[in-house]
Amino acid sequence: MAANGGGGTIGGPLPAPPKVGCVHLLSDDWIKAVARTPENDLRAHRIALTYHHLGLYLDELLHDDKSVRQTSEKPLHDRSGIVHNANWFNFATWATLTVAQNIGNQQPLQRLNTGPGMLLRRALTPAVLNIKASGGQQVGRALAWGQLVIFNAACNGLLTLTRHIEASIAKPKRKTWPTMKPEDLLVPLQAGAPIPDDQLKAYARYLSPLNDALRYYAEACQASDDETKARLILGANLRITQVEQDFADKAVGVVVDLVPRRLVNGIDWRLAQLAERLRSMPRHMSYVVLENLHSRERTAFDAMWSRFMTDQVLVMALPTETLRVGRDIPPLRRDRPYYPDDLTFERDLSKLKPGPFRDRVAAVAVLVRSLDRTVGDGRGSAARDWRRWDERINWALTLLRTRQHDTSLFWHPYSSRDERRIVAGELPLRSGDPSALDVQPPLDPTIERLVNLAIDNPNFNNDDDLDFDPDDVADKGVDLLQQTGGDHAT
Amino acid sequence: MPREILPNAVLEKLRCIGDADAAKAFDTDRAAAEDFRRKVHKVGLTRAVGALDPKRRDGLMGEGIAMADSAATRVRPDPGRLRVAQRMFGRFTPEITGALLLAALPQSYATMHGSKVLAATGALETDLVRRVRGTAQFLLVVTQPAQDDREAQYLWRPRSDPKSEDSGAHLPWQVCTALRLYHETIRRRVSKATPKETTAAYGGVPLNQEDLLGMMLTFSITVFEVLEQYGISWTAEEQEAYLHLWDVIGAYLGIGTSDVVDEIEPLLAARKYSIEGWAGLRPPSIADTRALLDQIRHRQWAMGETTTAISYTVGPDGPRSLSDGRLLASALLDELACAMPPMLKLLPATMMRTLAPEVVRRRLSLGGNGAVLRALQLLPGRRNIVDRFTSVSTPNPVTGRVLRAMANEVSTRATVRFLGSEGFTIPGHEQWSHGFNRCI
Repeated sequence: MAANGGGGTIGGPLPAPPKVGCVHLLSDDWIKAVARTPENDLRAHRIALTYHHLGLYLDELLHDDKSVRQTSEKPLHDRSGIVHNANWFNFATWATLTVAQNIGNQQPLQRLNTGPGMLLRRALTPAVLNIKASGGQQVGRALAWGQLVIFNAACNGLLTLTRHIEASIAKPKRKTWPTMKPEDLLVPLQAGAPIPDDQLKAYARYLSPLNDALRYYAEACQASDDETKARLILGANLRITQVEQDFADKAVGVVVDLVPRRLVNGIDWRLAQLAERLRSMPRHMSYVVLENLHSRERTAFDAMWSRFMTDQVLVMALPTETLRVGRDIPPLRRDRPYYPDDLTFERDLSKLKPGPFRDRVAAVAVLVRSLDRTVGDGRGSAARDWRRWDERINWALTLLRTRQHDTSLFWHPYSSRDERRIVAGELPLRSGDPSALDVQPPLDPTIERLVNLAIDNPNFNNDDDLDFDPDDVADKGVDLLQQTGGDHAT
Repeated sequence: MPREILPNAVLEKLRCIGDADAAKAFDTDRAAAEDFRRKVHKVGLTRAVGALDPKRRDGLMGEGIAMADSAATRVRPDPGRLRVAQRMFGRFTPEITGALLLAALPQSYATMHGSKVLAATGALETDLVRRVRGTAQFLLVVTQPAQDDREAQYLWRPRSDPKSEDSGAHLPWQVCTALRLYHETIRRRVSKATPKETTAAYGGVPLNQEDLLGMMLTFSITVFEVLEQYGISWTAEEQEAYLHLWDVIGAYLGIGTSDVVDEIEPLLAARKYSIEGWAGLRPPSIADTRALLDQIRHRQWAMGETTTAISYTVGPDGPRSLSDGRLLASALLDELACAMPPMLKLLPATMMRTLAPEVVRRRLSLGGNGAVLRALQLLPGRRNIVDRFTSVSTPNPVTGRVLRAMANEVSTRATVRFLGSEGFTIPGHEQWSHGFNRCI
């Protein structure tokens, strides 16, 4: 239990380290092992698995006995009023699993999993895979590189935070904040190879927002009230997302622009061949000349394609919903305000609740407001051009704010057996993609409650405020879990 | 790189120069100046003078008249050109208001240092509403129409006018002088303990000559740029008249005073530049004026710096430089959205994105527009032959009309909202404004 009584860890013992079997997932060795995994698709699964476990671990650091894992072990009547806060790793798990489908070449895009796209799935899949694999698998490589850089930075950040908390426990009066070094951002892809100085220098600029994020998390550990904690966690999530989207910026551009570039290059090549036949002009020269013509039209074509992709193709698959990035983010619960109360900031910052973290919460409010381009109810959150950093951040910010209390983000993407396979270096049997229904909800006592209520009241959609004896149901749930071999956290 | 109208060394020097005359006026009676600042925050710029204690007001007004007199001798108001400018403002009020709200203000928020000063002056959110309304009120006062040349001269002639002082600053020279003094109080308020620390925080003196010049040019040239996007073109005389109006406003605001020119003269001479025949710090021709603004924009928007994505998270010019501007843009959008009906709440953001250059969109995190507006902007423009070797492109008429109608919708509704706020008056229609106030 936290010494400050606020459900955080500073002052109390650290939670159990995140492990799969005997492999410690928050260790230098594992981070390097993931970074040096040669197969892109296996690496993507290892990253998603690591994120999932680190998400649960960070949740325990932040909330201690109110964390998702520890709450799930309590009887139902002790759980009321507990609000869970998803951290960056929880969101990143599902984002990684969404992207993972586009790194490998086994599966089509997620949009073909639902709606009218399903009818075209059989016809379109080969074409989509062909495009994805074209140009030396540019899409997969670009996404994999972006994903790897983000993974290094985020995992080393959490490692730094953990070490800082350990040091704070040893010396409680120490007044410092976790600080990352430029070397933490990059892991050499080959053992023993040094990281070039210019690369370190270029990445050093990411340190300021990342250290900011770590400080928010560290302060959230200490915060005594739920609202302040939720806001500080939002600040940390947002700061890391800003950096993450910067890392991924070029990769996203490569992915989105691939089709128009290929199409236009194909036309240029045909024209160059024609010029060679008719005018004896060497085709490679004509090709270079043609590539530099009509730059305005090319940019316009790229932009129109990008808007089409953003609107129709790109999605983010969460455990219980698949969100289209080109559409406004729908409310999580239709019977509640769009943004949770604790993540709705006062318009006048001088009216913020007094407390030790008032200035920091004000900084989060300023950060949120400076990046929010919606009109308050989610309208305006839809991205129009996914290549743009500002559009992605606006969408992501709305996602972070509306889904921070969504406990389904803590669900396991893989079965225990698949987790062991991934750690051992084999691909999982199920891909963990929620849009392909590869993710199963956890089996816990709330399920029985849900079923009973659904029978009594078909309009039921709220699993809170229930009044019945849960112990009997909980026992049944545990029995079921043991029978099925499930070990879900929630 | 844009053409150098003034050497960059001179612009750097301008960053270190504030306003010596206003500083002198401030030092004459510091308590009165501070009281004036508080009154501006409380009742607005135009009514602050009237709200002062009569003794303090007389002292301040005396200094103000001296400053305005000096400005009037430097850039002599030409009644004929002022009336043309006022007529153009009257004819294109929604378009110009829209250009200022949706293009000029965001462009000024995107600057490296200007937004820091705005942010340093206190509560951004509540202050911004006051500032936006204050800007609108200021524009209405300085562009108020005159019946004839005599009245145009009267509006800009500094003099003691007890009747007017009681009710507030409703003449253009008064409101400019009040703003100039207010700027000085801001300079004093946000300055750090040492000049070195101040320079580190704001890239020079707060509200320095380069920032003021940039702001003045933004408020004039951006209007032309936006009107051109609507397909509206002004003749050279009309443009010159409008620039002249802003020259006069600039002079009354203390831009390019003789002290300033004296300070930069050695640097100009060393580089064989001359500003002979300029209106203050503005070059005489329209083309050069546009080029000077481009040069200042290039510096202020850090366009020479790296523009990789990280620069939009942290900012090439420091972690706070982007966040302040983004917050100001956000507050402006909130204010404009409040003026719109529910179905059109996203229109201000859409128009701001459409009218802003790409670098401003990125610096302020405004995003990009959707397929329809993008396609509209890609419609082929018209090419007008000027003479045998020269042609000028104008936007597609459909694009221009649609953009104009959309922007006018925002600016008209915003104006109605401003009119509904307490203390907002239309010069010459005070009673009507107060009545409107109560209706709203």
